[in-house]
Amino acid sequence: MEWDWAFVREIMPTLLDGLKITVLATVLGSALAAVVGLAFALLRRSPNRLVSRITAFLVEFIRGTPLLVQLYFLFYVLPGAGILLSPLTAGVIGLGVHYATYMAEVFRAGIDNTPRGQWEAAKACNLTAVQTWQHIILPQAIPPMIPALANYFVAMFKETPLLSAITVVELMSQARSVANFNYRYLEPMTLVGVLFLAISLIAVPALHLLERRFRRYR
Amino acid sequence: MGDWSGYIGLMLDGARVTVELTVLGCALALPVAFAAGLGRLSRFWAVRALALAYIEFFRGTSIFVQLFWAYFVLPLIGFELTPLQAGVLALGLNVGAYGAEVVRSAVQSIGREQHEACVALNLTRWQGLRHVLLPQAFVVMIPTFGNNAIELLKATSVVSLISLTDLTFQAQVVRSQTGSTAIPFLTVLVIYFALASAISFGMKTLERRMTRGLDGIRH
Amino acid sequence: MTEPIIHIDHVTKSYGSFTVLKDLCFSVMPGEKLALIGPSGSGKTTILRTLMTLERIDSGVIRVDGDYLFHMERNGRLVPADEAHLHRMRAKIGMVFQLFNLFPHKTVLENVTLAPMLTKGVRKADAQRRAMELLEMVGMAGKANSMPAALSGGQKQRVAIARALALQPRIMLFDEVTSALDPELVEEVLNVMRMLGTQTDMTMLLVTHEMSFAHDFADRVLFFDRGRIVEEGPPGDIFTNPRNERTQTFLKKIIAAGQRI
Repeated sequence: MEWDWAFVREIMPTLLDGLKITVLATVLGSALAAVVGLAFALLRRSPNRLVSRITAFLVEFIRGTPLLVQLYFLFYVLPGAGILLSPLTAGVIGLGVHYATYMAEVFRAGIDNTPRGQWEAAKACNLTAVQTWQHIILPQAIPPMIPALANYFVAMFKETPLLSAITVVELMSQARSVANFNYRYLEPMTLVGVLFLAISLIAVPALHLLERRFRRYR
Repeated sequence: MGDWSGYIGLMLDGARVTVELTVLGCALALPVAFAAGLGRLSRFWAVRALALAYIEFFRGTSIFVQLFWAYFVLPLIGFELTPLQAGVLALGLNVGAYGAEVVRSAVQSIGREQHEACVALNLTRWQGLRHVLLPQAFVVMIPTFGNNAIELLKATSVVSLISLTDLTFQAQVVRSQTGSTAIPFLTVLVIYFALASAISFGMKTLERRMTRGLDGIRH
Repeated sequence: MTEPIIHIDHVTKSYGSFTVLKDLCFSVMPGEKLALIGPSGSGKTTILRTLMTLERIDSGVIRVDGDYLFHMERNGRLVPADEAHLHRMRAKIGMVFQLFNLFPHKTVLENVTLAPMLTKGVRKADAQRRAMELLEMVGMAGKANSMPAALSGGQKQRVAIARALALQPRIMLFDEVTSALDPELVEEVLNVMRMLGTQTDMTMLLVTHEMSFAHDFADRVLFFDRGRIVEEGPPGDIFTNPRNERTQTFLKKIIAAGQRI
């Protein structure tokens, strides 16, 4: 089978439309993952044993099961409970909550790396728990985490094709539909690969830049 | 409502396929990870470049895209693969690329002094690697390999999209035949979690065995 | 007769099977300068950390400025203090740490203004004016806009003292504040403490290994060993004429290590 440039030109606009949705899902999903991940990390540290145990189990469970099945769960099961989500919303929630469990680990490590003296100094300065988190711990803990978080951002980008399984019309789903329609798989599938690879390769030096930018203090 | 024992049978069939994919995928990923990871540390420029290209390619594109490419595009250039073969190939090569970085960084994490001791004892590069560096590095790799194996297990669910009758596929079958959604999906989530827990338990046991003796006590 | 500002009454604390404080009793009068000395692990640092509420006690009662530290009275009975009570009590106490514990992501000035603004609602301009006075006093005004990472150990410690003073505590705790410093930087920190001792009427407790400083500075010296106070008295007595055998051994070792007393 020969590579057909005319066909490439014909399908490129459709694929780029799909890419827009892919990028949108990644951005929204990672914003959600960061917020939920931080919440997981904080709940995991709760002095209430029940809260921290339940959080730990939930995080383990979500991490130990496939995103695809979780997406099906959101897409097929929730409507039965009266919660109707658009495919994109379900996809963003699934992607975000799944990766939140990974980001929670990054937050946990970052928080644990804050020296004990900082907690003690905050107490000696008579700050409340909320003030300590807001002004002392998080501002120190978050910058060194940024490279690791960015890594997951790229990982999420590569997981977005799964959203096609719940009818989100992102890049992969557009490629499959043009492929099925024209009975030509070579160009659409290869182009999808090339687009993913291109964006990932751009991301690598960008990540290195971030790593240099956010070195620890001291 | 249909015959539930029949559906449980379907699920178990699916679980068998999932386990098969995971085991075969790991069996491919492990040697590939060592080959590419050590290739990254090779003296030869061409070997390093080849290893790097493989790693970046498979880490840079999504497992999903790789699977579709293996299943739909490879036949066009003469490689006809069954869904199972395509699945094992894509999973093994994908996770192998992540594993290669684990191998590389583990070998590099072994201190300089160990490299220097090998040189001082006049071991060849291969002897040093085989008898001194890899045995120490392997212990460092185990926990991350465990995580990689769990990632592979989770990734197997994607093969349901090329009509391989794994656990995820069977959940869809049960859903479409019974109209019940919560039960089939919750069941497969629990089965996946049990499998992941089994992997992580196995890896922890292996790690305990391997680290024996490194703490200064001969067993 | 004035009441003690700190009253420690039969306080015991253990870590597992190791008892750090054994049925400890002592009082401190307002304005008193107290030096706590003794071998490491004798409990002297634990006492400071306990007063700062960084550690809890297992039994006994501590009163600070007329109030219970870890307890409060409810219906005539003593119950464990809640966070609000601890927050009120901490406002009376400031602490300077061995490893400075400056906030590395804040400038020198922000380190000093942060707590007054957050805990007392002081307006930013007022907090900054007061902070500059304090930094002037410890000789660090010129570095107000530097980050802590750019300072020497002695400079960090002087900023840490200013930070603690900014909350206007009645009691200041100094936990081995010169132990982590290079020898040539010790004196600049001790000078600041001397000045505080003469110019203010704050109650000061210091744990230190600088015996000659303790000798000149303190009104009273407590010698700790294995969780108890073995000997106490004016520095003249303790340092020149120790009666207890363990105090004698400890001071001999210090002199053998080259320190003047």
